[in-house]
Amino acid sequence: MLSFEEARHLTVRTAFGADLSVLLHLRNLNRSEAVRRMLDRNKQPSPPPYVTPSRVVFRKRKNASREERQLIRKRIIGETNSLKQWWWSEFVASESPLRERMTLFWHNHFTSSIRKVRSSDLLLRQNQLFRKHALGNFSDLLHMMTRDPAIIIYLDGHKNRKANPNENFARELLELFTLGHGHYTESDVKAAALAFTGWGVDRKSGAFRFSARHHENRNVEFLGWRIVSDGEQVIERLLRHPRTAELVAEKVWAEFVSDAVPERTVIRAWASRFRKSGYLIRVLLEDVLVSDEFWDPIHRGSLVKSPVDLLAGAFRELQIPLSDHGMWLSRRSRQLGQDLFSPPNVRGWPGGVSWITSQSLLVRGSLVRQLIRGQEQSVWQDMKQMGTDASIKTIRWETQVPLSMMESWLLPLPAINLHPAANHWKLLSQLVADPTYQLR
Amino acid sequence: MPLWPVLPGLATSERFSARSLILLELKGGNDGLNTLIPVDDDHYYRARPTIAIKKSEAVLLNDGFGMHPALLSLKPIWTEGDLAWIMGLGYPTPNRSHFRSIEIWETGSDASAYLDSGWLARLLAHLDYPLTGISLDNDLGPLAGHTGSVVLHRQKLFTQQDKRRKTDSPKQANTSLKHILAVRSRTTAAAQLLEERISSMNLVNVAMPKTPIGNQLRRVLELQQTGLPISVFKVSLGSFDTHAAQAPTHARLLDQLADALCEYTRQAKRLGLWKSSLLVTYSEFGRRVSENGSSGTDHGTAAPHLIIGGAVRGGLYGKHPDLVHLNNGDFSFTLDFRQLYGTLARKWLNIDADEYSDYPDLAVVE
Repeated sequence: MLSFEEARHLTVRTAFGADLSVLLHLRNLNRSEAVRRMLDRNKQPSPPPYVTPSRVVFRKRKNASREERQLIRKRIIGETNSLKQWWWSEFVASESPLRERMTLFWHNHFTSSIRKVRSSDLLLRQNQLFRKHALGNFSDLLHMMTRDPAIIIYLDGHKNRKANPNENFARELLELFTLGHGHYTESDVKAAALAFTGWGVDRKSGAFRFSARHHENRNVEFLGWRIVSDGEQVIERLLRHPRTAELVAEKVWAEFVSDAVPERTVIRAWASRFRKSGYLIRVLLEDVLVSDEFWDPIHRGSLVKSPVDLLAGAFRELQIPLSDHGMWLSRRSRQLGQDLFSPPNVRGWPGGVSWITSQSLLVRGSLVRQLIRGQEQSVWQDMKQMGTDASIKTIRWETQVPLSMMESWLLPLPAINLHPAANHWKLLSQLVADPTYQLR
Repeated sequence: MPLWPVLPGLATSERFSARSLILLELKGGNDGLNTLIPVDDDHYYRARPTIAIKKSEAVLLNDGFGMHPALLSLKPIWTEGDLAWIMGLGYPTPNRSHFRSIEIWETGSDASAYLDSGWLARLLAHLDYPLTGISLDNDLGPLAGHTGSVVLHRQKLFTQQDKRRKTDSPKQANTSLKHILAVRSRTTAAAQLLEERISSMNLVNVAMPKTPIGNQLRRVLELQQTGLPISVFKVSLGSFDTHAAQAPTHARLLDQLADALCEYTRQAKRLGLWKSSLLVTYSEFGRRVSENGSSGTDHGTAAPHLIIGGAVRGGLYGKHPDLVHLNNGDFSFTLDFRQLYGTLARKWLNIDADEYSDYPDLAVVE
């Protein structure tokens, strides 16, 4: 059976924060059972907010006046804010947190930004694809991305035509989504670009549209093979290349295990099984989460919390109800550098120590302090209202976690500055102010 | 906490710290060819049938060059001799990936080498003054790895620091924890300095254009006013990654750039900072010579960059890359960017660096 510390480790790495509702549950299981439990959770998310269909937006935009364009723009911004708040509600309250973590993982891998795509509908559909296939099949996901309107628009795929090939999509496909730098040549980029000419988006509906007229139907050599110039064959070739699975395995290592450089043998083993399974993401995740490396104490607290980790984690740890905090969370996360649906560039959020600068460290500290102050107030009110009614069960963290266990609950490593504290709330303030609280 | 104002090393830092180097990153790869334009070259117009800037619209300089019309407000600075263009900046075996190429520029490395520290971090390594470098952007860029540099946005938050802190690092700290502790102690030291200085003076209100770059430069001016020996500032503007429909985006960004630089110049002069300020742009690459099929340009190689400041010897430096004999559709660079770095190190920051001993100085700084 998992110790408290091990249950904590699995919780903060797969869910958000040291969520007691998850932690206490896992403690009664052994390692593989606990891992499987996290992987199996797949409760339906709450329904998303309404977004204006892309065909309506595109049609209206086509011959719009300046004022009309402004109105459309305002509407898209409003809808995107609602989408952010909806996703935040999942980060804070979902009973399937690993699925949400993986949805964000794919959003950061197959990047698109609302700033360029300018359609909340297309970004939502992409997000739902990521969620549906979060622990599904990577090969399917990769194929789907070549037909995803949001990514095509983001990477100028719709401007990639026979007469004037545009290499943006092809380059990022090879560099960021599959092989990674150094494993292909410039002529491979050109070949892939040619293969994807005509793979575009219908300007009236915002749906994927293949245009044979704009497709260069010429055989080109790609990664040392001669292929008919077609996008699907490019994807098939990339999936047969061992580097693709390795790239994904490396990213999964960085997300779940450590910021240290992984052993090549470990990555190759995981990648090989991943590829042989037909690219089942669940197989890769299970391999990672039951591995010795994942459980090795040396990697405890080696990952820096992303803004989502920090904020959603704090909400879950302190059991702060979501209520109307969606906008606050969205704004603060943006302030800390993680604006959902708007990654800084096609590489996504680099993560790790890049989340921590002199500026961000200050803001991270003050935000959590703010949450505690506010929460302490409201909990005090609640407690007063509940009075001495013994029938009202409280599963509050203050009653669940004894003072002596609070440090090992909230921190992945021994605290740097800790002074004795008189009660739960005072100790809590110290613990979240400790530098180790920024790690998981 | 030691009190910095009376430190033995300060004599050295005072000698050049009166001077500020402001690095302005043009994020995404600025199209240099449409920024500084060879207006008399036919090949230019043939390569860019829809997006070339017409000679009649360009802001004419001399020797067959003109600037993008959005840079009109920089013309007076050019006329006064305070604006220089360094042409054909690049490096051998150029890389066309955003991330890799900006890394090459910011670490000052060869295309095949992978360095961990920013070029200014190495240059200023002997300085551990807590405010040696300040980035107003999201990362340290060329200052990455420098222990005396911080990222700083809003001053008030910065100076309202909790100073009751232990700074010891436990023996077994992992790299993430070490990083956090290092940033924290730098922040505390820097915040203390700023607070002490600001509380003892009246800062002049500076009005700058309300654009992201305008805001960053406004804060630079505020920090410069403190008189603290801050050697380097980093700011940015973007994104210049104009793969499609380049014209309106490029014009908008260059307009913001010119506006902010113009106002910065005016304010710096007013505050007596002009002669000790030097602003230099850089970018991961230029863009391809021919336009693509989407009225845009794809990732390229060499590009020109500007330098402005009271100590600049204005004019055009270097040689414009050959428009006819291209390398796979791209320019061949004519000036290694390390030559620019060497010039800035020796002539502006007064630091002799072995790294740049093979690169002769440009005469761009007095």
